[in-house]
Amino acid sequence: MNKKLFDALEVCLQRMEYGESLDSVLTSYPGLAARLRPLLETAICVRSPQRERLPANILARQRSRGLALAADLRQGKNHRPWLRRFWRPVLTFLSVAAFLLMSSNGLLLASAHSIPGDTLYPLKRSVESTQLQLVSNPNQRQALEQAFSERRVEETRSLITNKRVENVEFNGVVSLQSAAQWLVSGIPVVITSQTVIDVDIDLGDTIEVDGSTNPSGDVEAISLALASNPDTDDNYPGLTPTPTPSAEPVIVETPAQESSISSPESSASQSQSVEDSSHTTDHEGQSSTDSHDDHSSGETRSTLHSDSESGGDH
Amino acid sequence: MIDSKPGLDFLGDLDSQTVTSVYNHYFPQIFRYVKYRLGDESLAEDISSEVFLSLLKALKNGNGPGKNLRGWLIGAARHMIVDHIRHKYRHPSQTISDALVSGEVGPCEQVEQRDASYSLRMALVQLTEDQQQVLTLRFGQGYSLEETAEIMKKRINAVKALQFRALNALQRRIGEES
Repeated sequence: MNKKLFDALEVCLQRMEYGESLDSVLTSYPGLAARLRPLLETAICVRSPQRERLPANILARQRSRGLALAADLRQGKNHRPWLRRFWRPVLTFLSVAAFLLMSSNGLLLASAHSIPGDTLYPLKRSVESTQLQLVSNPNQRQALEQAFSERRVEETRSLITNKRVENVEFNGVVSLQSAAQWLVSGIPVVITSQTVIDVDIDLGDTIEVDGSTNPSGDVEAISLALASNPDTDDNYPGLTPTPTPSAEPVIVETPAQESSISSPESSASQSQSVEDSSHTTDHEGQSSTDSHDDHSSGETRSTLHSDSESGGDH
Repeated sequence: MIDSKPGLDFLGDLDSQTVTSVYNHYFPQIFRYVKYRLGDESLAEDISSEVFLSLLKALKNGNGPGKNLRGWLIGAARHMIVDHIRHKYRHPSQTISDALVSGEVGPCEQVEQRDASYSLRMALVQLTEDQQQVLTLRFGQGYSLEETAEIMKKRINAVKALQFRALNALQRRIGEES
């Protein structure tokens, strides 16, 4: 039934298209006329009143536009369509891959030159940490740690050069010691009254410096501790070690006046220095007792060479 | 007729004669199709223009129509109309019609005409996309049953049934609108 209705509608529509009237075409389908009439009336309603010709100016305008674009495209055409179709996904993939590679490499490259306080510095340290974790050979690991340690020194030098104030930690060799200032791997380290110093540090020792850079061009030390020896320390802490001194550190008073920088020979008078430091800490109450206990046991002592005079002044 | 030529690879050359022929033959059809769907001449010109420019770019890139140029153009126009309607739905705005601006008809006549065409358009846009498409192709474009079936990629009997249901639905909608 439905198919008959669909066919009848189509025939009526075609006949009306050729100019027959609605009533005329319906006479051929008396049984379906009631169903077909409203549909045909609707078809007349929706039949386009806009079969008129397109305004010539619109066609001319758009054709000119198309011809101009076609000319541009022709001039820029240098690939065969099939070739372009093949290369497009390949080029897209390569572009995305290159972008990812360049952006990640660029970031790592930029972070490699960062110093403490820079945005990318944590990334640099994170990369170093990952590198260490990936190395299983102890010798390689040690070499890597040495390289990273040297980087810390270079970073500190950069901060000093740029007169930036940042917290720093680095390992270095003590080359000069005085009451107010040490020289560690060529970096001036200022000793203050708050500086915590391991007692066994001598010239030539490798120490861990924890402090902050100053605009005046040095590092103000918070603590100076003997560096852990990876060869002998089972609990070698790795990249940024937390000092675990074998002896309890002692706070050393800052000298009232600058004394001469100690020479290696002055280490010979270490026993005298121990006496001096005991005097120095006598004014500190409990710490004085501790110092005496330590001294009596001979295990630890506070070191501040050639400071006997200033200690006595207190 | 360009559509009757075996394959459309020659279109990729984009020579002036071919482009002119394509515009002369198909631009009026696409313009009429868009205008029927949207009822706005300037909008119809804009969308038709975009359809043809995208055709040229597609031909240049080797992504143009394989066999049926008219079907490709109407398909592209249909997508652009749907995009336009979606955009208009999200960002509604009231525009002044070209006829009113140009002074071709007076405001009162314009209102009367607009009421009738507005009711019809409101009824049309409530139909399904396929129903709108079949009515546009059959009654807006005047395409035959076979041409409509080819463009819509349906069988002739399916188009007959679709056309019947579309007219039936439209008749109901017009009744509701009025």
